[in-house]
Amino acid sequence: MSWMEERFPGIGHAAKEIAEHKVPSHTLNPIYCLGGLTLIAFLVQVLTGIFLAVYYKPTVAEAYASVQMITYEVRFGAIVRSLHHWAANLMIVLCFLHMLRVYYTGAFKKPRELNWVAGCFLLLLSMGLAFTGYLLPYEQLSYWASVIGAETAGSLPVIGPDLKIMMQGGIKVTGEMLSRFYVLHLMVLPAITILFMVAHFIMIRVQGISDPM
Amino acid sequence: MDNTTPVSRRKFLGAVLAIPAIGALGTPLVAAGQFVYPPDSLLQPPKPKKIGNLKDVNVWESIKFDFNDAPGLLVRKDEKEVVAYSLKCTHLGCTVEVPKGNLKDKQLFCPCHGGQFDPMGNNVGGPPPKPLPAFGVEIADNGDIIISEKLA
Repeated sequence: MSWMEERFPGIGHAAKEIAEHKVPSHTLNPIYCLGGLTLIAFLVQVLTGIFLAVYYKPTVAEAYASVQMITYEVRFGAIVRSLHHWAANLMIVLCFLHMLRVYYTGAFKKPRELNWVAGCFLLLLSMGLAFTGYLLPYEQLSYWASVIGAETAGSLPVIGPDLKIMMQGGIKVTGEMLSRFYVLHLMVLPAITILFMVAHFIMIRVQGISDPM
Repeated sequence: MDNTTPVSRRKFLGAVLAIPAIGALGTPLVAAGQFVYPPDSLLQPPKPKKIGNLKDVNVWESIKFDFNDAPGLLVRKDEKEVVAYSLKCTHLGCTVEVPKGNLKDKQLFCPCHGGQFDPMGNNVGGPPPKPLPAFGVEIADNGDIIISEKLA
């Protein structure tokens, strides 16, 4: 530690502050773990997602076959895919339960309004990740779910028709939509989600945990 | 000289620099939007499709066909005239059921919410708000029936 301390003065103190940070006693209750559990679900998604991306191929011809290969041929593939599937569902559920906890304990009130807003965006981003990931196996269920999603977006007033074209990458659901959702699912949405998470956590540290009711 | 509030040199130069800065950052943003919007080749309407010959269909009979991955129906009205329309219900998008055989005085029925259409595709009962959307139909000299997306 002293080797690091000589080069980065104060780093030991910072590490200690992170590891031994004190929290109020009223947070020693499982409902205060829901946000952290959502983060763990996200970390599981990142890790299993990286492994799935090793074999997954985002083309109409190969998407379904590559998912079948992951499930039935790759060693531990079924477990990795199942983890990704279940942690995705859990992440939405935990995020929503965390939101309920924050709401019912009044933790969203001044001065934490913007952290509530960031949290709302994180729920929307989680749902965006879930929706874009749903298309990737390119099975009947995914295909029709995406048709419904695109049609729903298309029914919005004013922006609907263009939004639908942007989602589909054309006038109907094709491989172009698969490419778009692949990019959103693997790059765009995770990057934005991580930015919002960092902001979310910094705001917790700066503002502290809210007082009990 | 009137006594307007003086703007400091620093503030003035900042404002002068802000305009090109917004331009420099905004232009790539527009380009990015243009890039992500699909190119024209991906926005072409579906190609016209031959679905049968006039010989195959008697008056008041119909041909079911697929156009642009969705079901459609062609009905022969009389010796010369045919109509073609999509079978996607204008209520909530279910596929409308077509009775077998001669369609004279019969109705098309949507199984989801009981919408009714006449053989010309007009909504005549139930929740559908509009007639079934029509396709363009062309009959070639040899009687081939060619379906295309109707121009608005």
